[in-house]
Amino acid sequence: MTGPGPAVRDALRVGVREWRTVGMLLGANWLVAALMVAPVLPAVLATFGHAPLAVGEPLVSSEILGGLGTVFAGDRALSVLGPLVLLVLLQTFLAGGVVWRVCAGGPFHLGAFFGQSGRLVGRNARLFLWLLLLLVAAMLVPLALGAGMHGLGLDTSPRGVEELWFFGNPFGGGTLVLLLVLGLAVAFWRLSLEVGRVLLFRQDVQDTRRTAWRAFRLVLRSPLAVVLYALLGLLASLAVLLAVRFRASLPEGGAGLALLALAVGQGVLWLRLAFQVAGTRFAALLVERLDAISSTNGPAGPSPA
Amino acid sequence: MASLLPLLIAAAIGITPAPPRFDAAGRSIGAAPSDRAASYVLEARYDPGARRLSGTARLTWTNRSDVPQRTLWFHAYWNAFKNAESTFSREADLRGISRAGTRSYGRDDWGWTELRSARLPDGTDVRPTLRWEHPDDDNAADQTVFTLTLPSPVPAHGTVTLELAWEARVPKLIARTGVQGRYALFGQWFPKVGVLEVPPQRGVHAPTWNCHQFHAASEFYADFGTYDAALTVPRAMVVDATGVRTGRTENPDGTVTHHFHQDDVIDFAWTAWEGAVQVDDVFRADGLQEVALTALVPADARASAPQILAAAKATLEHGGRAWLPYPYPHLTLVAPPLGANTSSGGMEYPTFVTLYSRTDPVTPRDVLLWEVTVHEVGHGWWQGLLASNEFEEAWLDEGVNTWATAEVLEGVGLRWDLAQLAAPGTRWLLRPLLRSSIADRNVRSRGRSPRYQSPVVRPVWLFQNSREAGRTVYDRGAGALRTIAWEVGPAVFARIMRTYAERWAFRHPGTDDFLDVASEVAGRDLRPLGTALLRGTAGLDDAVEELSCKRIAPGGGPGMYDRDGGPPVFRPAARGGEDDRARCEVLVERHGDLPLPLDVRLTFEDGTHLTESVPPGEVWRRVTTERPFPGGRVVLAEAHPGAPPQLDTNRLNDERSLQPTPAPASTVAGWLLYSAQILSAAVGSLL
Repeated sequence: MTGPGPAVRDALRVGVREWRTVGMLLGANWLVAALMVAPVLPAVLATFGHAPLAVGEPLVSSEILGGLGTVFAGDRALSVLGPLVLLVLLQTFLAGGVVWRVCAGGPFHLGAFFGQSGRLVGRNARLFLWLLLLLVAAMLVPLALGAGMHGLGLDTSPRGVEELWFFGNPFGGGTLVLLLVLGLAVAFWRLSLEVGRVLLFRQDVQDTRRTAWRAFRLVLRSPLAVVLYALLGLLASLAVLLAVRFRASLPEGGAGLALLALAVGQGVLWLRLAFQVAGTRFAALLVERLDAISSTNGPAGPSPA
Repeated sequence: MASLLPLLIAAAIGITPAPPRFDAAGRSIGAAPSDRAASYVLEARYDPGARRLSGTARLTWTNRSDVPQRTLWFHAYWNAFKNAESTFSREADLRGISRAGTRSYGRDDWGWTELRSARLPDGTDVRPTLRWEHPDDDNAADQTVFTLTLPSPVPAHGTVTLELAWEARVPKLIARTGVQGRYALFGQWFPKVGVLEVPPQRGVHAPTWNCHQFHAASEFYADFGTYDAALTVPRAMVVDATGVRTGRTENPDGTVTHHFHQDDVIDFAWTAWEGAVQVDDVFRADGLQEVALTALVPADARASAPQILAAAKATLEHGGRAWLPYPYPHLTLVAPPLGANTSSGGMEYPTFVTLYSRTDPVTPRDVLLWEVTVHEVGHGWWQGLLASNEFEEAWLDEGVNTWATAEVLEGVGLRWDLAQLAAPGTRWLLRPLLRSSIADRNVRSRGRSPRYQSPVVRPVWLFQNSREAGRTVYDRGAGALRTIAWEVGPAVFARIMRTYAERWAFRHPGTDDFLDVASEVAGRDLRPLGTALLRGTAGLDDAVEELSCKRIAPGGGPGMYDRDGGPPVFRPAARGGEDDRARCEVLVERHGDLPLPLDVRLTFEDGTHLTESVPPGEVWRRVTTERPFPGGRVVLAEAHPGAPPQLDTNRLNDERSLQPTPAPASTVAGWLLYSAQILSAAVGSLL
């Protein structure tokens, strides 16, 4: 049985250790991103391939930004919708393998990873659809809060945000409260999804509706776990932001530098995906802990964490 | 003695200002510089609790024409905010003008103005003759223009005095006027007479009233005159206005009457703002008139004031030396409170401008504050002094001033750093991502297509939408000026702008007047070019589309060749010899129809150059060269070598190299891929 603090540590450790799993997720990410960018690559090459005026210029320069206007002229655009649908499918598929890795441990076998992914993909997809209902409900909380704050004169409308962004400070007390509630709502929903997936894997049940409901109740009874999960998400966000910042601060202007930036960018993505695996591990530990409590207390059911 | 003090201080620090053109009370010294066709004595009382403004205006209007005028045209601008059916509201709604919309108005937000009486000196009230006019559309619901008919006409070059009394409801802050909280801004707030244009003014052939309705995207047009105002507000409110403060009277009812005066201006605006922080300064420079500066800033954005004042001084210095010394003795700079920047910041009135305030400005120079200040103060020349018709030829103000803004910013070495636009708290993160150094002229859109939807010279309400109006009037207007500068050279162009300012100050120039001055100063007819730039829709995108080189043997490539009159004999490829040649082809295309000359310069590997001229009208040209290999290979082809015309919509394709340029291609491709990965990861976080 793992306590909340050690659970976070263990989750992070697994996020680091499961580099092959992270690699699988990164591969899917690459595939989706490449499909997004592919339609405009010929235009990028045509515009910038023999363009001495753009040589040595950083991305945010009139030369490169002006050229991007040409790249995206007419109806040409990144392909977003199709690859994102593929992303949904891919990630739903890979979820089973990820849960297998964080629950079972042991040596990584590609065949076993895909086997578990395939075994659980249908149920994971149904579980996700059931839990979308919970997502809608969870989002109502910050929406209602935002409306209430607006009614009280704490302006959170887009016009207010525009003024605050350019001329004031958008991170006032009201906005921070709203962001906090939004973060907790997302964490609640996301942890429910993770717990549901772990339950599907551990108990090998077919009834995804009942599993979704059970996951929701388990998480509802574990407010400390929700807070810790949200903190894990906050830690992930901060780490990723720092990495993004580091990547953005790299010098620009050469082909080698562009490759270096792309490589560092993979580090950013790696960090994000490692935290994703850590989050799943956190959910697995939560289920383990609740199961352990449940077995200690007999058939009365799980207690709050 | 007090009035001598600034001069003594200036002398002590070694600055010799120019003699003032207006005295400390805002009255002109010597002959009046303008014709003072419409002068006002204004009295107004503002009741913030009831959001009511009541006032009187004694208008003295001169009929500058040779034809007696019995009917006078007036603006009632605030009726634009009276309901959703005004022309202003309809246009704002349909054309998506962000800061002009009444869409979000509630019951108490609407504003309007109502003329109560209009009396002649003999007491005759001509208010019953009021008739609403709709010169621009058939919108009978619009009440922003009206006429009054006098019992007897104003004789040619005669004068009439009308005592106008009105009541107004102050709208919720909109389109740079109205009230928000404890801040109120009053622009276009009194019944204002239209402009009777007299031949040859702006090409009219007979005296013609120019008095347009208030449109969502348009600004204004008015005659010069003297303005004397007495503004009564609650004691707690800080007041500043067009012109010079001439007095302050405490009233027994807890109000204060503030007195202002200014000769030879086209309008009068003011603010009443409880809680504003006032910061005073003086602009002094050798050979230029001294200008007292007053900045009003919100308390939480007090840090903006020093930069606003510095930017204003830089503009006064640059404009004074490059265009015309700024003649007025006082300039008010209003930086609205948070929440009012987008709806009331960035507007010009004579000697009174609104800017932006930032609670955490970037130091030492915040480009957002500097740009808006330079721009609005710049209007002091291109609208305040050269009072063009902004309804019909807005580019003469906004386009010229956009050019002028870039000139001033370039003069002080300030460029756009997009990282400065980030909010406090995000700057640490976004700075590395957005850091940039882009000249102001290059942040202006050149458009994407070399053919535009509208000419630059067009009534503002006839553009497709506000975005097109902005791109055309501001950006293309400025681009047109730079294209003329490119054509005549910077020194001649500087003389053109100075002559134009000197000749048309305190008057109403039109587009043709500008082109006449430009042609006269340049010593050649610039009207055809100016007409193409300003009255046509042709654009410019000159492009080096292809550049290829081939190494060939001295006698040519492989194939069948006749030899000594005999049958053709096959000759194989025989490259590799010392006398091989480089055959290069360059294809240049002109995607736009703007009639400008085009030079194409080819740079060879041995460092030599070849320049070809393509005359206007020729749509494309293929240039073929054959020179000894390898020095004869064309390594670079440039359209408009050196500096291209500003209006070239795609600067990047002006040059093409023989060798690939992997750096920019990989920078862009890598960034696009990385962005797509981040997007996927963000979406994946929810899966």
